[in-house]
Amino acid sequence: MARVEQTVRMTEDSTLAALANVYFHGYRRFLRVAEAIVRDGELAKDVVQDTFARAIRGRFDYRGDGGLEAWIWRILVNTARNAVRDSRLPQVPLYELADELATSDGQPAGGELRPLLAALPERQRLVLFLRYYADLDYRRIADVLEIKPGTVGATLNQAHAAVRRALKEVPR
Amino acid sequence: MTDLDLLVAEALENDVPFRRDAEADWPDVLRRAGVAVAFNGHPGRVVGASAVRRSHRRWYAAAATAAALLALSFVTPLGGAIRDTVADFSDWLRGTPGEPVSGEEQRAFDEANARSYAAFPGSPELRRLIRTEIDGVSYDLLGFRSGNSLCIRVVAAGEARGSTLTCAPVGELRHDDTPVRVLLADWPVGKGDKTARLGFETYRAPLAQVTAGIAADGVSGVELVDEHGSHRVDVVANSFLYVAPRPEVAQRVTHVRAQLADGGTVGVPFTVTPSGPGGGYGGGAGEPGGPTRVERAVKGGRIGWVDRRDERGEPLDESAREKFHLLAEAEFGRVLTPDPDSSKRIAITIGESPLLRTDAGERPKRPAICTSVLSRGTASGGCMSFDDMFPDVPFTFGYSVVGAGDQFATFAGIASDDVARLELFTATGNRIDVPLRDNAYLAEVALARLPAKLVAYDTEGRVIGIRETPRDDGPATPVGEPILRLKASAADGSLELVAYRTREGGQCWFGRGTGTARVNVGSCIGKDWREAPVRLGLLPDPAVFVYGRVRDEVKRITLRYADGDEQRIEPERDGYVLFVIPPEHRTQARRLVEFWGLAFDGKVVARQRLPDRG
Repeated sequence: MARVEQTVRMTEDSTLAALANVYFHGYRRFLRVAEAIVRDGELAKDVVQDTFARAIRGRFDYRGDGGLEAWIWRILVNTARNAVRDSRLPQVPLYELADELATSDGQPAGGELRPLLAALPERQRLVLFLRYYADLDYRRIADVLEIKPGTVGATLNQAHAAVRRALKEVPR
Repeated sequence: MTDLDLLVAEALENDVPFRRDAEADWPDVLRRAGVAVAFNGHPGRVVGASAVRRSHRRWYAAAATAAALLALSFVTPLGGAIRDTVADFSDWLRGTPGEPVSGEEQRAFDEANARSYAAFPGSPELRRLIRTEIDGVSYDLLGFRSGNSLCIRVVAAGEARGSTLTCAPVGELRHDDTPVRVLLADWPVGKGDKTARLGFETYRAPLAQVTAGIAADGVSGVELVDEHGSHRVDVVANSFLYVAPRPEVAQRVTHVRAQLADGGTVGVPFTVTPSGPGGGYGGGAGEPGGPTRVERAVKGGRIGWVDRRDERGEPLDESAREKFHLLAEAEFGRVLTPDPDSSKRIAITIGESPLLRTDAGERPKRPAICTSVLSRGTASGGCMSFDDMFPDVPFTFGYSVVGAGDQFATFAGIASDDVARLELFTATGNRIDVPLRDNAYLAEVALARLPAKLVAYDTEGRVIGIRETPRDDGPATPVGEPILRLKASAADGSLELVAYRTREGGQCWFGRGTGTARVNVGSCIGKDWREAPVRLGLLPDPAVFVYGRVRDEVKRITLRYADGDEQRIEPERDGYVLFVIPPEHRTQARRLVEFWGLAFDGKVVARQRLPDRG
């Protein structure tokens, strides 16, 4: 039998083990949300790695309430926001939207949703990402963004409305 | 889901694809966090178990750093009024401190308890103890007894919100005469406006920090000392609650004293809550007692009912697996209750584990067995090869501390059928019988009593296994301005290192790389640097930078390369090292293989061999 080694062999307390569990089970979801925020695959990987590194360094401050995963999501969103700010990635001006959305079949697909999402207010974008990419419910999104669950619903509706308006503007 | 939802979902689906092939890289996370450094003193590399603690290679929640800052002496004489300490906590032992909460609050508590995977046994009666309000935030201290647990709950509401719950085992009151027990230290509430930059990151202080606990009759007040001075709070309902408003970053209560009704004071041992990037729980002064030799060697033990997949304990339902991130596709899962008087449970699952890797970095084909301690909405634990559960000792070993500011460690795990009885021996001279049922064990020990030793006995009373928690450098809180900055550059990256003094008399350093060395690393070393006088690491892979620190007596360092070349360098002030490896030695054939730390007279003080990463 192959000798089994523990990847999490430096575990010095069980919060670290729990973090490892969250990391392995949720890695691709974390990566997806990070990529949605930073718009760069490589940078997104860094964001996820840095998120968990920060969580490990700050694990003694984890309060044990609200759930470990929600705490991680909160760190990830902040880390991704900082990464966007530090990398000074170009933002898509609103006036470019119409051109980019006008595709041959009139359907915004693939990267064509990108400028529309980029133009949404930050909170709407984050709520969308956490809802669809992370599959978090309203309460957890509220925990992550530190807003009320009712605000999550309202923000999601606003984001939907914005997407609907944009889609209707696309020639069909 | 509405049509619009579907439309949005479809568009989002295409916008950022789900990367099924993306590979997680936990060692890289550990490297960035500097965890390897803090634990074993070899910076920046996850050399961990394989190099330093080979005997623990199957890790089970590897026990952490030991024990406590014994803030004040245990031997301070007590006033006559509190000589019989257990009796003096009688209100708590009866479960009747303070006043009962309203019927509505009790019902809400009962309902929440009934829903919990780690429900408190019995029908605990929630009691209102103390209420205070500071800076627009109200703080309610509640308490109850359940089984063998004395619990407090702090609820913050208003400008900042949050709640926490922590418990002490009743047995703790019998271990010594201390008339005050700290159950929670510096639990953070909300976001404050004070920040501090440490290394390359900015840390923000909370809006407030809460310290709370229970007191015996005859205690009139509790004095707490932190960076802002000494603070006295009254004892009300055999309890105390101290709220530090607008603390500094890493501010901590460092001393606690009980003030007795007869005018005397008694030092209260407790554990200073670790903060920020460095340090651990500290190291107690004593050594755990108990047996020192194994009388009958037992290896390769099994658990019969697990091998047979008997349905012991309770089933592990799907929602629990999801909630606690246990093995998602476990073929077998049970929830065990080693101590019916505790709210905590132990889940055992068998299946493929994402945590295990072979030496080649692949998932093993054989199943893993994982154990998790379920408590307060979270789980902690680890996995090991199911085929070889107990390679060295007939039990898994480790402890967990759940929340920020908690003062008790939960020792929990599983033991083979060879084990008839388990005992814990603490550094403060206590012996604790460990509940063991269905091969699962669980015991709670004050962090201030660590290090601790777990001893297993067979049916004839022979010692068949001993494990002891390691000791670490203790709390390390960087303070002030950097005392040193170093930077080194190579063609495809750079590494910067910045060092600080710590409040405790040691030093912490942080490193940040760019380019191919783009990771954060760091380490703290206490005032008494006893082990591993050469603590150097390499970045990236293949190595370009040598970084870290050597102890004061190391005046020169010899770098030895695989091709026989040698190179000598001198450490910077306080022993810090940051050095660029010559380009010709960045290949596998000519790589760096060893450091020698040399004293002033050329004598070799220490050697540090480097693993072959090829």
